[in-house]
Amino acid sequence: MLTPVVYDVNVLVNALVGPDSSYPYLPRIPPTTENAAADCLAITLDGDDMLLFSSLHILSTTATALVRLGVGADLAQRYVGALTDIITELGGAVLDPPRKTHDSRDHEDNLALDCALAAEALILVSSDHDLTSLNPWNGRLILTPERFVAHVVAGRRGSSSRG
Amino acid sequence: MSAKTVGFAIGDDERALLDELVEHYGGGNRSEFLRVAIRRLARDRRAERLQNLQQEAREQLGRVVTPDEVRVAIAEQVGRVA
Repeated sequence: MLTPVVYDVNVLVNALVGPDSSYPYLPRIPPTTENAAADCLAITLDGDDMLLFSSLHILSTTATALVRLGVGADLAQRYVGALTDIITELGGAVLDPPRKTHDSRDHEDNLALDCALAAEALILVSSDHDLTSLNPWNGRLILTPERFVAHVVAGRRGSSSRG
Repeated sequence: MSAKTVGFAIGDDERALLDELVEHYGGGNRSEFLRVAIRRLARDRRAERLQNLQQEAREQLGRVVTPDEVRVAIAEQVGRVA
């Protein structure tokens, strides 16, 4: 049973331009790497336990934030293209969710929550404090990348020791 | 899902290793072994694609970007005070 998950813009941006990691391979023993955001992506590459969803808004904001940081527009687009391919190849989807949520004081955070809602995601991963302070939200976990990676690694170790 | 038989040719010198791998990864079942191999190779291909993009970004920027810089860039992008 795969757990639907949504990554906020900051996770997707940090995964590309953040510190070194063993990316995209995830060590089984925490502490994992210096780049928890990249570890988050590595987790979804397996298609073993997590199913990644995103939204047109999250992906387009990822691309424009990368360009603002100095990444070329072409590379930013190719990165978003790669994410889109990976999401759909593994059975997730890029959604255009309806505007529903107003629980955060921040409009952008509400758009991320809308995506989590539309995807029926059980986990939203973000390093935005306004979002993580809502945890748990509407029956869902809102975790920092570090906590999410620790959560998954612990779960995998548990299942491998049981198996 | 329908399954079709696909044939592969391997050299005699690879046969022993194949049998070992089939036993280890497929529990002795060649079809299961092939499914595992396909999944792992597909994962590696995805990983390689992302790894190349990450390397390219590193070369373009000439440095590692901090999470704080990312936070500010996103905030500016969406018209929010960082």
